[in-house]
Amino acid sequence: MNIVVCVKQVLDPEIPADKFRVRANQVVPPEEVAPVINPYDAQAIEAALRLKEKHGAKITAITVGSPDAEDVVRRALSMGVDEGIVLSDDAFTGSDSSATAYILAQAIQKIDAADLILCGREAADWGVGLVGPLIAERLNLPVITLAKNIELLDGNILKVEQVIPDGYQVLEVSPPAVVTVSGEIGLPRLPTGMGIITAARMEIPVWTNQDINADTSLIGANAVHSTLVSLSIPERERKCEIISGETPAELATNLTAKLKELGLI
Amino acid sequence: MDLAPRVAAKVKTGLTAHCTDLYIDKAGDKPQLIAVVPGWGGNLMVKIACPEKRPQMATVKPGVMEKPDRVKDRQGQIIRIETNINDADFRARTIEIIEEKPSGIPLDEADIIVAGGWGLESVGGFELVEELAEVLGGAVGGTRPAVDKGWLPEERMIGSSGKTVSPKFFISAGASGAMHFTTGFLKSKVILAIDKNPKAPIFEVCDLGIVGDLGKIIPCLVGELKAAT
Repeated sequence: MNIVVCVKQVLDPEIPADKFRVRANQVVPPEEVAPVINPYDAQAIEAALRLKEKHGAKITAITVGSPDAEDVVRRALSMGVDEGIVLSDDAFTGSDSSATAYILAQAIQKIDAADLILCGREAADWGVGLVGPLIAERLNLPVITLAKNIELLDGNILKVEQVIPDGYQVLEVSPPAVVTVSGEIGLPRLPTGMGIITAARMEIPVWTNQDINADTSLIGANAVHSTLVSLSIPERERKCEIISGETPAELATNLTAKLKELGLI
Repeated sequence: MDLAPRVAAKVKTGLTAHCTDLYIDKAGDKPQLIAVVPGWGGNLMVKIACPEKRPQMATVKPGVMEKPDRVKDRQGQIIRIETNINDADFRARTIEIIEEKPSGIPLDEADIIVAGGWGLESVGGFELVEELAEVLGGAVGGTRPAVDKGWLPEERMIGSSGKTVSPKFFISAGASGAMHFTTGFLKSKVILAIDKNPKAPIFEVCDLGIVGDLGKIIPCLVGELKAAT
């Protein structure tokens, strides 16, 4: 089975709120914080690796970004992914979800017939979760979002458990298909020492638009449908009243009185 | 999750997903929809428009809009469209649906929610939160670290990658207040935070705060509330 995992480099979502800066409608990354692999994409890699362990597979990680985005592909390789490709070209700069999905779809078509395309449920930066379904649309493939478990059944059928409110549903689909992976799949494995050494030695090709032949009218900043109106740090409107009291018992008494006053109990 | 993007691609327009607010901006040549989304787990407020293409599309995050009451005599035109779907169009097939009714009060129906975080570890765990929720008749929720610890199931997670809630009274216990958590309950009517660190960012997003040892304060509070109600 050939599996392609789409990964994205993002600003570490765990950085404290006061490190966020916005200038001219752009996020200014804090200098001391290195970008990371989108945590949901790491879970998509985990899902791919579990399938590989059980059934054997060749896994390719691809990313669209600056040449620096190589770091996230190398991270994927160190976790056990077999090959990686960086898609980087000035023509790609400013692409929205739709254009990014098109770029990825063009690349996926160039990779040996992919049976399964995996994405994280969303990226930790914009958090919109559009790229996976849009790749499916581009390639005219079925898509299943929010998978918490993926299995390959006899007869080459993928069985996917999809998270829904108050439970999950079991779907079956014949490959090729696109699946986005939900948090419920569990924590992704950490790279092993050997994995890191192997990954460090691997060549990661950079493909430009010459390699994937995307229609330039459909990519980059000129192709965007949705535009950013503003980016700002949200105002905090609440004023916190700290309940006074010397002992836990006194604090509890004073709080209970306050809650009564507010009609909350 | 997958329907709206595919429709947007079919009609060749932009889509803004997981919005927390929508309004019409009438300032320009033609009125346009402004979609507000929390970026970077709620650290940033992002406003997005779709200036050229029509229709404009957005999906709304569950739990953030108030559900209006039903107006009985409203009339509307219902348009029926004949579709031409055949068996071959169904490529992914649902085999079965498994209901996992969460035990306890569902988060989206609760007037009171008590949510716990990492800070509970040093004081003996999550039982404190459960006790407090029980005496208040509220639902239990938690942060990502609390879910990762296995203290509560994933569907009880509050925050940008979990549920968005807006109860009348929200209590956060032992959570420092990472944005991707706080963004999940900012629209609650009254927010109470209990944490041992007076400098924790959680105190910037609450109405009432208690600084102190959770392991001592919560049992006292449970006792007081039992006596008061």
